[in-house]
Amino acid sequence: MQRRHRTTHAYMWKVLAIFLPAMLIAALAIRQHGPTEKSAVQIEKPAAETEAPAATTDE
Amino acid sequence: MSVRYAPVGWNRNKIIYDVVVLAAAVAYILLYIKIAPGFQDVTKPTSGAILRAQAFGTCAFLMLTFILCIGPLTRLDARFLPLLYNRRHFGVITCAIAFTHATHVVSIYYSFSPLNKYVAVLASNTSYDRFLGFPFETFGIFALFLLLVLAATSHDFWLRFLTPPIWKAIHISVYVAYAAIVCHVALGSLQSKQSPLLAVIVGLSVVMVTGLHLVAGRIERQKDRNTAESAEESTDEAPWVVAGDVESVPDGRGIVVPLEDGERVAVFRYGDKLSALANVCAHQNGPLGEGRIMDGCVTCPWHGFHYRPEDGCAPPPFTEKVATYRLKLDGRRILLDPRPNEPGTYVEPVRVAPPSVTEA
Repeated sequence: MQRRHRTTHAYMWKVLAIFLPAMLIAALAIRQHGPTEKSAVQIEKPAAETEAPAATTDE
Repeated sequence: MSVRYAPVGWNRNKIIYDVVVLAAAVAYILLYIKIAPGFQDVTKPTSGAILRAQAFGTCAFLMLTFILCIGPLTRLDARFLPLLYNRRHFGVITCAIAFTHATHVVSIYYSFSPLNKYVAVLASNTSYDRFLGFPFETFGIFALFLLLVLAATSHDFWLRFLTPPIWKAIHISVYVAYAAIVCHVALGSLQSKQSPLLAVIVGLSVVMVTGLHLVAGRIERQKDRNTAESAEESTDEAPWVVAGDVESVPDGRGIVVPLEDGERVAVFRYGDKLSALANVCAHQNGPLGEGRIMDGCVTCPWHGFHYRPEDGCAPPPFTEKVATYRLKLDGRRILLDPRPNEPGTYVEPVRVAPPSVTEA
């Protein structure tokens, strides 16, 4: 009984010691970075956009 | 007079153990909720509900990692034994925290589904043919189911009802639960998070848990290889094996003698007497030979179960029994008959003469 339990234990951990790191490495290696994951970047306003409203107000 | 039934045999150690575990879990969750917003992307702030779900999820994962390390650590160093004493309560608390994580996640992500939110968990993603995009929720549900079964059957009632071999076989599935949780995180959170911290934590957990189990397993295998040698001179029909020298057994303690069939026998010395018992505690298969004699009884190092060394019976009102073995002395050598007696069979202890008397 004792030996069977120890053998099962040892066998399970041998399998897990291969499976778990392989699974983790594979999941990290091929993960995809979607555009939504990137931080938002503030862009400068186009030069034309700043002038246009002024012209509209004058009119 | 009768023994009153108590669902949990509380004592000071158990209360301290549970209070420490609960306090550590609560402190971690509160700290996570307080500190984590400081590390997040300010342009995409995480809601309080999601933060709480993350806090409970990571807490349960770290607790399970710790629980799985306790077993091999006790094999490597006996100073970790106190951690093992109330490990089942630790597991039940972990299960409760994992369950809270699951209820938070279901409420956050599936409450507005046209389907029942519990149905939606399984129906929203059915890409079982992919690796990336695999419905990682399935792994989480499976792991939670296993943890719930383990928590529900953790009580000693189930241990007695199912018998230790079946109970142990069921509870070994905690490793499967751990593997499922690693898959759940790897295909879930690690796919959507840019923060490398979670990946590092999961990686360290896997390395630590598998590494400790492999090292402990290797040490146990080495112990099994050093089986007791047969005694050269057998005066009767018993296949006596050499258990060791009298001096190798410290007073009040035992030594573990591996036999060729893979079983182990614990040989104890108490005063001028020697007795041998099966090394397996009838409660949870704890290693009796690593325990000590307290109040005249062999005490299991795991949960403190007592057995009389002469007959392997637990003192009344308890009914546990373990197998006994015959011993005899050949000078200062202890010889052991490797054939076990029925559990609870009385065997006259062997008397040890002081070294000076033998030498004279």
